[in-house]
Amino acid sequence: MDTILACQNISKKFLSGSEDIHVLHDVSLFVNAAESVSIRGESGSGKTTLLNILAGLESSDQGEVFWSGKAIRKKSLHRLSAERKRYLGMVFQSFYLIPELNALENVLFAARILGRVGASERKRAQDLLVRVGLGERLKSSPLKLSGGERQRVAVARALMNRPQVVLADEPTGNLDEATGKHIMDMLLAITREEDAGLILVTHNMEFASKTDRCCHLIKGRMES
Amino acid sequence: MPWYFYLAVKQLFPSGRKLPSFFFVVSVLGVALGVAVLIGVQSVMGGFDQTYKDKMVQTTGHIEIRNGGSLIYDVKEVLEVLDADPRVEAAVPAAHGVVMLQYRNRPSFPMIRGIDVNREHQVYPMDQFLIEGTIDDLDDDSIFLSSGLAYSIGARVGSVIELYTPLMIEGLKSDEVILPREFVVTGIYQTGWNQLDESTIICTLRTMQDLYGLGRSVHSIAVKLKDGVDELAYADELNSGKLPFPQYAYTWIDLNSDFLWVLALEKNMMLFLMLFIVVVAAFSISIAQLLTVIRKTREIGVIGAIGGSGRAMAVCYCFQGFFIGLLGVACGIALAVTVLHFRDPIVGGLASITQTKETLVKFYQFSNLPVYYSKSDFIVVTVSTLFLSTLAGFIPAFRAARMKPADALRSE
Repeated sequence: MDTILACQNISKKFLSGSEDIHVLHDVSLFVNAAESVSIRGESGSGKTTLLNILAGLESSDQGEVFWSGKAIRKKSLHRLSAERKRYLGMVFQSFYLIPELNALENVLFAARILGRVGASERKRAQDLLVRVGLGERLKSSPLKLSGGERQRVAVARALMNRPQVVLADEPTGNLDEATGKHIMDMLLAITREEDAGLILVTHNMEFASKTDRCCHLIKGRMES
Repeated sequence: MPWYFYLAVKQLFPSGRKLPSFFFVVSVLGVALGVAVLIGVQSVMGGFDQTYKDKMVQTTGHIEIRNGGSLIYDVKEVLEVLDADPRVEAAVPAAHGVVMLQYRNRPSFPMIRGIDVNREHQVYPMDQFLIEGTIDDLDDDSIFLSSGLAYSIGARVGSVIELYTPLMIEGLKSDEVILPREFVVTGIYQTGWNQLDESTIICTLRTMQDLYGLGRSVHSIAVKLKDGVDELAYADELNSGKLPFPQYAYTWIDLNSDFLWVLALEKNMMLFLMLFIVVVAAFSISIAQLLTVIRKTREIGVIGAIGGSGRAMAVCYCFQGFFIGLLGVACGIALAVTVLHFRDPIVGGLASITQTKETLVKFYQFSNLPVYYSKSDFIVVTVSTLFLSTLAGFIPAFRAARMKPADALRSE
């Protein structure tokens, strides 16, 4: 099976006043195509920092990240940015939809960043929204959607450009239990249908157990 | 449409909302008011400029031919050359100087201008300027007084005034008894050009030649050109060999260069000072945009996370500044043109309320507020406003471009 995203011996520290805080220690991880991996950990264990490093949004002090087997460290910011929009989809805890755009426009925005907005992209965006159960709310403003509905739009946006891997950072963190469960099931199902890998950061054991593989991040150290 | 332009337009006109964002409306309004004031002031100043320039041309002609500091003796020959040129509407000889005027023992020292009654109306619309009398009333024993002079000495049509000339004073040296020449005032004129209306006299050319002992010579020949003829080019042509040396053709621009310079300076200073209104409006754009950037820090982070570059994000906010400027300019011009269209009822209404309508006409000599729309004024205002508003968008754009997606996502 092909490894689509991997990191080796990642270490990261932040300077807090005069003190170095080690957030990640020698962390290694890999995700195969269409595989789902969960990263569980307490607050402050370094989950979001690891996700940012995997997405190339932050650099590590040590170690290397590989996208489809290629190290990203030497890539320019511009190149990294250009590759990220094709390669990765991201889902955040707080949805972060653009309030000036309706649901359909928010999903299509990912394609716009890629520079492709044609009839086929429009159809795919509509299909994705139908698949996440928002076929009737295409023109709704995010401000008029519930938290669960917003997260579904965010999931559709993450999948719009057919990414190889979706990084989801506590996607159910702002939702009630029932809605969170529904969103999680939908996220797992839809990434499988799309043959996309999934890295799910959560501290919910039940959700983590639904992924193909579970990792546990304890004080910046990875335990499988 | 690239995503950064698309996002810029959507941030200004959000989907599903009937009204654009509040910040956008306030910013456009600020720019529009600044532009309206700028265009309004420039157009009214331009109107005054144009009125003064028209008066200058009306009272001096397009070109005046002089003979260095001396007299023009070959008047007939020069007039023949000018009359034969199809570009010349008319040419009229004139003599001018200073005299001492006395009326009821009240002396005054006005400028006197002798005109050729038969030709004069072809260059100057003298009959339009006369507020009392007609051009036919002027003969060798009569004179016209400017309104200011008539008012200051208390003369009116029918008054008999006495004139002393430098030639008479010259006679004193040879112990001659000098007697003043008496003239009947047969007309009073007002050109609207303060320099002339303050203290001048008009008499026939023959009278002037007699008073100054000029014989058949004159001081100058005024030339009126046909519509569309470039006076500068024509004067150059006359000066490059068509006129005998040392005769020289001066345009009305040369003759009034100091005054025109003051007018231009005044207008440019107005533009410079009024431009600060647009600078203030640009600050309001900058602050509104900066607030938007701060409010949308996490959205900017997400856009970065899904592949939007910082440079494109900067273009997005610069474009918003530009667009606000563009819309502000359009609204400002529309507002200015509308207000200027109704300027007379507005000014009249204000003057009536403050009971100063007569004062307004008396001092400005315009019963209507003059307006002149200059293409260059519009271009300068539009370009400077667009530049300032785009620059205003640059500060928030710079902040947005520098944001690291990870930091933006972490921000509270």
